[in-house]
Amino acid sequence: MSGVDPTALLGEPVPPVPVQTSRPIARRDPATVMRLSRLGAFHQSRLSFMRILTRRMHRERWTFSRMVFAVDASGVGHAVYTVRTPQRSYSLVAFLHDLPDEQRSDRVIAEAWDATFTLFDGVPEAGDIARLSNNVPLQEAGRLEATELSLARANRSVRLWEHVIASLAAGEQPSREQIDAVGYLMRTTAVYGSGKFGAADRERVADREELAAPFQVEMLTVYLIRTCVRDLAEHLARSRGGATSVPLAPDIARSIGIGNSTGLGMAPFILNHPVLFNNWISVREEAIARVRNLEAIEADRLAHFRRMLARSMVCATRWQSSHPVQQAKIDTLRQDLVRLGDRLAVDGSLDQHPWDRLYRWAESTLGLEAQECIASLMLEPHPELVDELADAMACPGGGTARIDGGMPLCELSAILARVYGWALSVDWQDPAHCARAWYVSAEKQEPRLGERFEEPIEPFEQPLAPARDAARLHAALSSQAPDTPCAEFLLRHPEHRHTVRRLQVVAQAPYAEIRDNTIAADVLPIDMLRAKLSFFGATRFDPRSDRWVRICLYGNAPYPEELAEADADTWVYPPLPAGHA
Amino acid sequence: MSHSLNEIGGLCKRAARGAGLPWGLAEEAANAVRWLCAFDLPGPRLLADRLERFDGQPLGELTPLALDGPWRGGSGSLCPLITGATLSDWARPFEAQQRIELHDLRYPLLCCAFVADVAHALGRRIRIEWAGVSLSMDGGGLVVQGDRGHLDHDHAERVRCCLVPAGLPLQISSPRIRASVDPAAWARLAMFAERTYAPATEASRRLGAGGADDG
Repeated sequence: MSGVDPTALLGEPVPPVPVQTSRPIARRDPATVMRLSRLGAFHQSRLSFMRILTRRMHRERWTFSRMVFAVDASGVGHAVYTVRTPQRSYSLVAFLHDLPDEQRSDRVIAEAWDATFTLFDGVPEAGDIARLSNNVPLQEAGRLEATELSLARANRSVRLWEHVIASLAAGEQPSREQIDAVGYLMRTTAVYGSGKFGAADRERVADREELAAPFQVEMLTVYLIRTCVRDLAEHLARSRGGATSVPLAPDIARSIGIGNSTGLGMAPFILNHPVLFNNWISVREEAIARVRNLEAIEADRLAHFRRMLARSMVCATRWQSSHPVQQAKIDTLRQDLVRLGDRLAVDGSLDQHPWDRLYRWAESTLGLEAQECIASLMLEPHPELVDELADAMACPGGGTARIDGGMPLCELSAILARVYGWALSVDWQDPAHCARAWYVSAEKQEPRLGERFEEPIEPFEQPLAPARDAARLHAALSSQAPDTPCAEFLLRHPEHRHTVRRLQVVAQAPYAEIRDNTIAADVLPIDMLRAKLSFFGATRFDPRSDRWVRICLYGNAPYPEELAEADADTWVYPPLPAGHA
Repeated sequence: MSHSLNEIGGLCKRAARGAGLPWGLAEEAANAVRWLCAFDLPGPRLLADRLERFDGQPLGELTPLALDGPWRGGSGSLCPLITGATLSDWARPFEAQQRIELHDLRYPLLCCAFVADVAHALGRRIRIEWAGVSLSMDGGGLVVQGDRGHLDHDHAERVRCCLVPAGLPLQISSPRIRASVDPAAWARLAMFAERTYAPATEASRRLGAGGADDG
């Protein structure tokens, strides 16, 4: 067992995000940024967790080896992939199965998968593998120990899997068109970290430089899963086709990412981790502000932006969704990016705050998808201003923040008015404004969103409606003397304790709180999922309903054997088709 | 079998909520037990005892009536969670007073994480003592002195909590990030946690979380 920083168990103050002062252009107003419609249009950026990881892998020259690949001709067996960083080793342990089609489900309530995985802290011995083989394939029903850092599973894409294996077995490359249409051979349906099912708490690894940024354990797990899935597909093609079979062509292999199917669980996560969410957004906002404050830029910076824009357009062209809301957003994005290209043709000037002028033009002219895409793209030419901010994205304290009981209620009311002012004029009795309720189902303890007035769920409601709860607190405060300390109020009104704590946290963390109603009849939980997934670095966001989504991770990323020589940073933008400069 | 602190905290929060505590106090209960587990103290069992003992009892009856002079509960007894939370909220007045006395405090060990939190916030060392055992903490480590057999008492008639000079460095025990939880205590907490889960219906299964069974 390892020790832990004792104060990590206690409530910690919000760590500051570095802010450059004395500059004319401020960070964007939280009231603008934290609307669900805008969060639901966020794009990946230099600060995405996948890119933070691949840049480090490249810079530190991590080495990778396939230690074990004991898989039979039907694809059943296990494999171990070990990565060595300058300080230590981590190993992906994979268990590969041959699942009948009728058992393949993306739901959390599924009980069997094509492949199951864990990221092991170090290099596992035979005894570890034996123990893991009895637990990892069971997922939630198994038990992990402190040496395991994550738990994941994946299912094959029925659309693509057989096509790729049959093609390779026959000595041909799979259809590029079919690969582009799906984007992945397997999709993960859960990647758990941070102490789930017995795995190590975040505190075990939080002080390791290579895992200090958020979700690095999960991002490394998925990176290694992608390699394992490619190897499995080639292995099955060889088993079937023998000497006739061929491996995937490198450029086709590289274009294949790992899919991910994400349900509602991510939405409560961002509401339940306000400081962490604040740090992600506040760092990106700081980066945007730094770039907008540049009075002039060099020509090669603008040229870099244009290249990334062109590649972004390829990404937007390939982005497909069957969801009508997302389809409309993609259509507008494509048109807006063309308008952006036209605008750059007219105004390519490098001074008078070029990025700020561009952003203001986008803000007044283009849709939210394009505004956020441009905000992320503007960061690309300026790694020296942006990348260092990644260090401030994590949240060190693990405990519940201590309430400052000495704060007078008038100060609490002022915070409430500043952050939740918009919520005070909402009629919270109106069913349209409180139609939904978040709850946890008895079945696998899965977070769900239900209809408050149609299902018997209200007694089980989770505290995921901060705006309504702030309005309730506001009503309770109206009869209190303004100089009463919080402590005295809470002694008689413990039912407001959760909200008082949240207000005090939010007061220090300007981008912690969503400025919208999370239980309205028309709330789209996929907006919350999109915001979180954009920080992972996900692309091809494809909502399948208002509450779950498929995405792609690591599409176009270099494989381990390519990392040393390849572009380990801007790979997320697909290469331009042949013939384009 | 060992558990992660994250699992323990998650179960305790749900259990406390299932026993009728408001969310804000359920969060405190989870924190308190995580902290005790990190020092290998029987937090989960004591929380299960506390939740069973006062299941359904109005919180107001277990809350300190007044904060000047010794703290006493409305029904005579004090709940360690609301008392601890109040102590934490009351850190500055406590610093001025130097000491607080608590009367008929149930499951006093559950109060100790709050005291550690206050010590951390004030940057001071605090000692809490009852029935021949004392715990000293400065926000980091913990020193237990006296008869450890009294640590898990179900109540203490008189508990004294006071600031003490920093003095010599504490011979501290350091917290861990894994804990072994007594399976019986885990099962008792899980029963309370069950109360927070909505029974699945066909409609909720279909609509609630999304997901798909297609390829």
